[in-house]
Amino acid sequence: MRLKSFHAPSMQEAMRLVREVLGDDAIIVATREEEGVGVRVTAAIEEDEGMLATHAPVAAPNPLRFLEPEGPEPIDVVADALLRHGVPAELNQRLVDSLEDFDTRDPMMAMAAALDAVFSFQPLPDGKAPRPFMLVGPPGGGKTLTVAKLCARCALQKRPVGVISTDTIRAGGIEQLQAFTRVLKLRLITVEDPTALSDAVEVSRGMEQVLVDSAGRNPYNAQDMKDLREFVTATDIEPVLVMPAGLDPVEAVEIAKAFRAVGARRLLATRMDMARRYGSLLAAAHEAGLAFADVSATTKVADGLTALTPTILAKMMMPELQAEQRRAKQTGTHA
Amino acid sequence: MNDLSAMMAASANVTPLRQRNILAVASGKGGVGKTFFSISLTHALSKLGRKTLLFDGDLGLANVDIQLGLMPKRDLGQVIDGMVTLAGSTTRYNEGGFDIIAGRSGSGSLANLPPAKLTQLRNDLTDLARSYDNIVIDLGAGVDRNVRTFTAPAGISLVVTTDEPTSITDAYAFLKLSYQANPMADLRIVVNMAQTRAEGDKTYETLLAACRKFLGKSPQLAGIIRRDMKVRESIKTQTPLLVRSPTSDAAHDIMALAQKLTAG
Repeated sequence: MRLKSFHAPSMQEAMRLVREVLGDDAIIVATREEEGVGVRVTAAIEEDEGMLATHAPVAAPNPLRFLEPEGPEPIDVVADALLRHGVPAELNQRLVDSLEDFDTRDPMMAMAAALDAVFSFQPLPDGKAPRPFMLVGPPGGGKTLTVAKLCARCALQKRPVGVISTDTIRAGGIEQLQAFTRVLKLRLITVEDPTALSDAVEVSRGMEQVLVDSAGRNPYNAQDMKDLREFVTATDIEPVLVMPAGLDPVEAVEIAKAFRAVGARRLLATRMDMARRYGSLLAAAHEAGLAFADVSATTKVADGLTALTPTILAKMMMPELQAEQRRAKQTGTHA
Repeated sequence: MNDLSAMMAASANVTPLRQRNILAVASGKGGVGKTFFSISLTHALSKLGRKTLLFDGDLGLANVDIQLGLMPKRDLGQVIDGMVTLAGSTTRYNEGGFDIIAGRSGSGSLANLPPAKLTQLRNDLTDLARSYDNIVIDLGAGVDRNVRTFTAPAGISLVVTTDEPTSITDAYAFLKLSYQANPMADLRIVVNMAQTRAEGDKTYETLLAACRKFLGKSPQLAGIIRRDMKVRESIKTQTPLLVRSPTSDAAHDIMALAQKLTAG
């Protein structure tokens, strides 16, 4: 809006001036008699671009996005969700900063874009794998069940798969996996030392995938980690960290760094269904430089694993929004 | 577009927008007496027996504490750094009987807070509003992201203007953008430094005419504060007007405005 005052001896004269200078669209917002001089008329005219140009910062905001139209900005929804998940402040900031030039009204897309910008996603292959995978991590993280799920995935596709376990110390470690391999009609090879592992891998050549279950290791125990390193370096094998959701973020970071040090480059997250806050997983992957592989969100072996993508992780992190968007899609409305 | 709000409402733990007891004090233009008004309004509300908090939301150029002559031990800077919670950063201002959260004076260091921090701050403030009868937010000038963020949770926005055309035009800009963002926004106009009540009315009428004509909206008048030399003195001596000159014209007008505000 532009505001301009006109002084004239009479009202008529003033109105003429207003029209002459501001045109027919101008409106009179104030008039006053001026003692012995005549009148002062204040007129206004609305010219959109002009006003926004004078008030907009360098990157002119879409005026419709001012003051969070019908709810917060997508970037704020993302920031909110990250806070809820207990993502450490610095990482939260990094994720939000990555959205600086990202323009969307959909918070889900914004979340996916932020995750995509900061993390790398490398799910385990569905078919033939170049190297055996050895699942490593602290005890009770779900390594054995994950091996079973990976075996089941191969078996269902009729792909030959080799299964090895180094988990010979823990009571019932072998039996637990055997319960699954028996059903799947697979032969489970058990090995007690790195040399035996190397031999077992050699025997399993020709399989599309070779999966190795390992004993849970204490990341804070140097001897434990040294033993694990000997297994990992005995043969050409990729250690994959299996870590449950729901740990303390700081703890998770230290655990991830310890297993990164013995060669893990991917993080396979389990118990996604038993936790509602995934901040520890994001922190661990980020701080230890691990790529997200798959996630497990069920104890059912046949339901297996979900290969993680930025979009899938975003949906898992914002389940209410996901449900809402799905409903909106079904009713044919668009957010 | 409307589905987004539905989505937001459904999404868990998202702090509800807009609380009736949060008052945002805005002005398009600087130099219209916004901080003075925020302080005096908070003071008036506490005199009316309400538990009130004044939040210095002018992140770039915080100065509430300076105007009150306070040396707060804690300020927003420490909240941003994660050293204290927002609730733990309040300073009691005994003379006025209200709490304040000071910004980081004279450093400008909070001017460019990243969105995530801003959002967190806003949500914390909305939570904190449950412990007070009123929260008054002294916003920065203009319509930048900081201003927009802290305007969002406010139930009522008070837009301060003077009779200067530049101030009226900028107040109009703020009103326009606010209505565009939220057609249901409760925006009210405060005319500051009015020569007389009648002159103040004219200023309001001018702004109202423009809003009606161009926006189809009629923001109500929150009140008129007459120009008063006592205000300048109170700012110079760093003593609140309602302590130093409680019977002055401006003090009277601010009390009346606060009463009207609390009456509904």
